Formats: sequence, structure tokens, C-alpha cells
Amino acid sequence: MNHDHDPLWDPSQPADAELRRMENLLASYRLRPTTLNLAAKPRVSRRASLRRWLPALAAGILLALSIPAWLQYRLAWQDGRAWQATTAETGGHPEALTIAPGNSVTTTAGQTATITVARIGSVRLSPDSTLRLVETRAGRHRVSLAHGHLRARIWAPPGYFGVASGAAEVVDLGCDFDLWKQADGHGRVYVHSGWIAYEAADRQILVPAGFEVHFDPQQVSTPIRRGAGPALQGAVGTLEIALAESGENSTETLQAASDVAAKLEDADAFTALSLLTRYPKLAATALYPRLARALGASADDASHHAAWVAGDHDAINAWWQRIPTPPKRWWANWRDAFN
Amino acid sequence: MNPPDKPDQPNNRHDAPDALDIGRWVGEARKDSQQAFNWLHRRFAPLVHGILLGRFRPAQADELTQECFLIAFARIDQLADEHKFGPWIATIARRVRPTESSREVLLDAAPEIEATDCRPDDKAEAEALLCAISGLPTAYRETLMWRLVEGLSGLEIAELSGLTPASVRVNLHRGMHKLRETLGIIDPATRMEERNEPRS
Repeated sequence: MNHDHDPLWDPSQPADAELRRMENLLASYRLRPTTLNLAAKPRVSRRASLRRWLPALAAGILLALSIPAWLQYRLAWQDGRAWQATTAETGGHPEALTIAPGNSVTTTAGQTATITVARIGSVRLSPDSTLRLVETRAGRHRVSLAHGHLRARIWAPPGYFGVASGAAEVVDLGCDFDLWKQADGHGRVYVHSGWIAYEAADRQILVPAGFEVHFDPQQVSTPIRRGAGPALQGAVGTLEIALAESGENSTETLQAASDVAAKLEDADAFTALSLLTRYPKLAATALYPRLARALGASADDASHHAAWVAGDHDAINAWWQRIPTPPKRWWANWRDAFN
Repeated sequence: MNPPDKPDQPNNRHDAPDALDIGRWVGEARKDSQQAFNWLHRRFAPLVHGILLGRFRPAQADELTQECFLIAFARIDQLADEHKFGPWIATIARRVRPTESSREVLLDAAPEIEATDCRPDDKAEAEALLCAISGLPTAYRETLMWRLVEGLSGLEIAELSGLTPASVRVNLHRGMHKLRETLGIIDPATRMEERNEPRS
């Protein structure tokens, strides 16, 4: 096979403008040269080590001094000021637009939109989606998703950003999440980092990173870890049906709760915590000792156990504080500020 | 067995290592030679990264590239044919999954540029281009990632991946044809010319 004069085969050959353009654009994705960090580490003299760290230390001090000003600027926003957005179509040129409160963005098939949420993050809208800007001001930015899919990456204190979904609202607690919604009101939320709160009229469901909830216009499911086995998903579904049809005290419900406990892994502790917070009487079942084991707490504290069954907030909060990354630590997801 | 001469000299990017070199370095790596690990990592990182870039977003592809080599070096005694290090680590890259601490990325989501120095228009175009390549059949996708993103020549791709040069060339040209078609920059009249399956 003759490979002469084939720039696709040999990059050193002169290429047409289109191929050169592709190469230039994609070069930004090329793997940057790195060394593999195996066990061995080079020995560095103390003076060389100091020389290496001094600039980093100076930069760190400068950064620490500038963070408060930067944060204040990031969180400020004039009432009603329009957001910037870009739509992009496969093979087409990106188009910039602004979205004022009351305006909508609708993407067609093959089209996406990237919307800058004031200065606190961004929303990426998938094809065949419609999003409307409801309200924007410092401390409160709200959109509604009529249908489709969005991915929101927000780094701001809890409650700054929210997505209305019918009568409910998905409120960002400083995080990165996906929201899918059908026109009939069914949908789901998956959290990549941080937390979200799914707030309906009479209840609030917290969802941490790695977990997903499904919802419809009337109800929202218990958070389930993505990667949880079908056995656990089925058991939680059965429990939810039993709760809806028979209440917290029925034999069916108590049996279903014990079945959930039997199928839980430690990584699913939040599913149990969410269930026991929403339905404290289920603490009378095997769910309580199973959650205790997952959180490293004692299941033998009879007074704590009794208080939980009675719905005592202090008893419940004591175990919420055992979660490694509680919702209030929104600042810990600082990487989302640099998406 | 001694490793090839001048082992730490950076190779010309378009000088493909031959199978003999690879076999020798794998042999040295089995004796825990740091030099051999570094050589194998330097030569095969673009191959692994190109595969991962078709499966994950860029930042995750970078991270998982390192992960693949750590897996490969931990299991290097299991490699049956020392000369087939490339196909072997490519298989690892096609099977690797994000670690628990790593953020999950939907494979069907459009890849995102994590950091570029380019203009906003370029960024969107590059993202669309990467997305289009990611949607191609595996053989075309990987070959185009190696060529257009990693900058490997056809010969390097063949030597590193274990594919025959003829297969690489066919995948490059058919893949590019499909890519142009996907991006809408090809004459529709020519679309019927290429309908065959990719070679692998």
C-alpha cells in the first residue's frame, strides 16, 4: 500500500485546511506529558525543595487574600439582569444570546445550549429541551425545565440556584447535578457532587452525590445510589408501595423495611437514613441496626433507638452528623466553580 | 537482557517502536525496572489516552490513563506475549471503569473541554468535533483519536496498537469519511461509497 502524499497517514505531510483545522482544534485534548507516579520518588535536597515551594507558598498567600473579594463578586448579581447563553449545533457555528427573566431557551434535536447562571455556575441544556428563566437576583436564581435534560454546575451557598419542576423545586445546595424531565412531569435527578434538595409542598428530600431520585407530579422516590443492585431497588420500591398503601405500622411495611435492610450495602447507608428520617417508625425494624453498622454507630443505645422511633429530631440529627460530607459543606465542592 | 540503547532519549514522535523493543522493555519491566516502566508509559500513554477520550470526558481520561498503567504494571506477569503490550493495555483501557472517588460521567453525554487556551468559538467547535468522533464506531473512533488528538502517525498507530498498517489506513480514511459526513461537510453524493464495516 502506497503511503506517500497521505497526510492522514503521515502527519508530517502537507494537509488540507480542513484537516489542519481539526488537528489544531483537537490538540487541546492531547495528553499532556506526565510521569507515572510509581512507588519510587526522586530525592530532593532541602534547599531545592525550599526553592520549589517558595513560589507556591507566595501564590497561596496571595490567593488566600484575594478569595473573599472574588467570592463577593461571584455571588453578587443585579436584579433581573439577563444571563448569557450559547447555542451550538453539530456542524454549525455557535450562536450567542441573552436570556432575561420570563424568556425561554428551546433546543432542537442536535442542538445544545450552554447558559451562564449569573456568575455562580452554568447550565448545559441537551437537545430537545426547554428552559425558562424565572427569576434572577443576588442570592436567588430560579429556572424552570419544561421538558428535556439539563446539567447544572453551581458553586454557591445552598439555595442560590433552583430548578422548578411543576409544584416541586430542585434546589441546589452547592453542587453538580443532572435533571431529566418529561412533559408529563415524570423525571429524575442524579447528583454528581455536593447535594440537592427536592422540595415539594410538604416535604424535602435531600440527595447526596452518587444518588438519584425519581419523581412524578405527586411524589418523589427514596434516594438510591447509582450502582445499587436491582434487588435493593426492588426492595425499596416494594417498601414505598407498602408505605403508600398500608402506612408505617402495617405488617407488610415492616416486613418490606426488613427486606430493604437485608439488601443494603454500607455504601447505601444514605438510602436507609433517608427512609428512617422520613418514616421514623421504621426504626423499629432491622433498618435501624443496619444503618448503625453502616455509620459505625452503636445500635445498642436503647434510649437513642426509642427516641428515633418517636421521631425525636435530636436523635435523628446525631446520625446525620456522621455523614462524611454533610449538606452545609458546599464550599468543599470548590472544583465546581471551575467547570 | 539489556534494554535498547539510549533508553531515556525522547523518541521522535513519528518513530514507531518495533515489536522487538517493546518485548525487551516489557522483559525489563517484569524485573521492576523503573526505566522500563517509564519507557512503556511514555510510548503507550497516547494509545491509552486516545481510547479513554472516546469513553470519558477529558479530565477523567487523563486520570484513568494513569490508572490503566498502574493496573498493567501490577499485572505485567500475566501478559502472555511480551511483544503484545500495546493490544493488552488497550484492552485494559477499553474495560477500565472510574474508581469510586472519581466522578461518574455518562458515556452518552457530550464530552467537555476541561481547559483550553482557545477562543470560545474554537472551544465549542472542538467540543462538537470530539463529540462527533466519540459517536463513531469503535475502530474508527479510536484510530481517529490516536491520529487527530494524539498526533500519532499511521505507522505509530499500527506498531502501538498491534493493528496491521492496512487496517489502520482503512480505518483512518473510512473514519474520516464518516466524521465529515457526521459534521455535514461531505457531498451527500459520495455517501454511498463507503458502507463497509470497520477493520479491527
